[in-house]
Amino acid sequence: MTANAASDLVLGLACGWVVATRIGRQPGFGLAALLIGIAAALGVLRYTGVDVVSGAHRFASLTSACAAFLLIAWALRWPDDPIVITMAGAVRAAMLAAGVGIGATVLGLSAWGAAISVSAALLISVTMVQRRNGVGVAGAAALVIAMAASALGKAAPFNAIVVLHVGLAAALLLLARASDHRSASR
Amino acid sequence: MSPILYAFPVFLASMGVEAWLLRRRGLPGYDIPDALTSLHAGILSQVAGVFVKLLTFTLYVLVYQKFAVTAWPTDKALPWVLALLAYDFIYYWAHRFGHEVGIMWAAHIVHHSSEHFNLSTALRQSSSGGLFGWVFYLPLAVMGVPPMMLAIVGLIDLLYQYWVHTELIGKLGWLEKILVTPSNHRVHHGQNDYCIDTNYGGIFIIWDRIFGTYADERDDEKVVYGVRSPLRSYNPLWANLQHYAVLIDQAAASKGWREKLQVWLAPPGGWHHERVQPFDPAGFVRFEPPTPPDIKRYAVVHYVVLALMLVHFLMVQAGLDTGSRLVYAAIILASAVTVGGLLEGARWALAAEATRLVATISAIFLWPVWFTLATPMVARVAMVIGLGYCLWWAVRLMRTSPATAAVAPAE
Repeated sequence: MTANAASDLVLGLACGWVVATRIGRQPGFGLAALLIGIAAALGVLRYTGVDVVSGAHRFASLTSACAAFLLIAWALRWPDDPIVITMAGAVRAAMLAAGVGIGATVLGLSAWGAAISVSAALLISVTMVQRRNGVGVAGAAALVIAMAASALGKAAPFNAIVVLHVGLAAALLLLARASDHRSASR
Repeated sequence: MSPILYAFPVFLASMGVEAWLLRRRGLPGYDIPDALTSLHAGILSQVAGVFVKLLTFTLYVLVYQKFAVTAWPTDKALPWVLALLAYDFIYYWAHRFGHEVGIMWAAHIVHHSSEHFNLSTALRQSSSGGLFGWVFYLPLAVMGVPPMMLAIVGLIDLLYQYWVHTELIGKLGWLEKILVTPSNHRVHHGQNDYCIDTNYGGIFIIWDRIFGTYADERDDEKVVYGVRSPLRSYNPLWANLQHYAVLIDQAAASKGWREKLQVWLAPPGGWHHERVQPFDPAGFVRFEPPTPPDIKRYAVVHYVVLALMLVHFLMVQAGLDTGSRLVYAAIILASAVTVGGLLEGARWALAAEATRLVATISAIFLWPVWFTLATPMVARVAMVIGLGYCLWWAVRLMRTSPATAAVAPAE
């Protein structure tokens, strides 16, 4: 197994844990993890040589970039919102964000997914700092590092894909824990 | 050209047969204004489809080109069967969202706005539904369903749904368990309590049975067709815009941007599944303004003219520039709206219809080429005479119509 595949497996397992623990309580967060998890699972296949899923992996990654991080940001910022606490709301928001994002991307706005992800990371960071949530700040930092690695791509002096995957896994676990803190303090 | 056009003569002939059979069996027949409103909505959806499908089909093609894992072979039967099954499964969800998401219900409500149920209702299609539905089908592009295969199975799914819009056919035994049938689709169009949010399937009803949205037609309670917030209009444009206006009002009354956003995403009954008011089928009164028979005949004649214009529009639109396409679409829209206004006795309809006819006569004189159709002088003269006769007819009808007496008190 390559490093890329192994790191995607780590991300997939982290997503699986978040889905299992969040889908009932916070469907918005759970759905976001599910979207990222699908991309990670396809990534494991792709990086272990199943080239046929390459397109599906890129599509799932784009969907995650356009919708999943937004859902996580929403869940942390507005935890009582119907988009967060109902599966119906989460699915609608995800469809809307993914539809707009995929449409914009294939029509030429290729930076759309990155722009939405960065905006979501910014919102998460601000929210966690405002709430003085240490675990959340660590999660936001992991998310920012993962996105920075992704932006650097091949220009990075390290394996950016591995850093992206591991950073996202850490971010998801920490932010899920941070959302618990938030829930407990309410 | 839209493949629907090839089915158009079949649609018209089958509606004629259905009307004849209904009359023969002594059942309530077609309500001409309602049926014409359905047909006008169908025309508008075809015209809007030229613009909407250009965008949405392009998006499907682009996703297919960029992300498809493979290309399904089109020369074998199995991929076609699987594509149809997959399409129908996704159709179920897209249709369900069409009823359960505010903005999508705003697009889809037009199809349910008829308080009658016959083959013409099948053609009462939304003009804006395509703006939202495309995203559901993107997984098929990634799976490798070629765009042409998608278009064809989509057409099969759509055409299948035509024949289920009838009261002539009763329950079909074991087929009710597998397929969408006239009986279970009547339930889908009902506003009785037991009919709400049921039977979303396109071809196969099994999806409803699997996902818990199936309801059988009851023998002890006649289905009352339509929606709880009735359209009460024969204006096909308003039929398409009615619920958007409701949502805009609700959004304006909401506090904060998140609440405003929720208005568009929430189910029509709200997030908290507020109880729908119990429905009393016996107390239901249909929208049936007293449209004079002469106006009905006038509207039928103009529907035929409009249908011919639609055929011409769809045949030539690909060769027109965007401006000409929009102008032609606007002419068809204005025609459908003014004739709808005549049918419901709208106050503005007389002036609008006269203006439309005068403008059309002028256009025929001014432009020897009608959107690429070169018309010989003799044909133009004949068209002008015909439209002039219609103008005289319209003015005469309006003078005698009680519904519009208020706009012509001196006459």
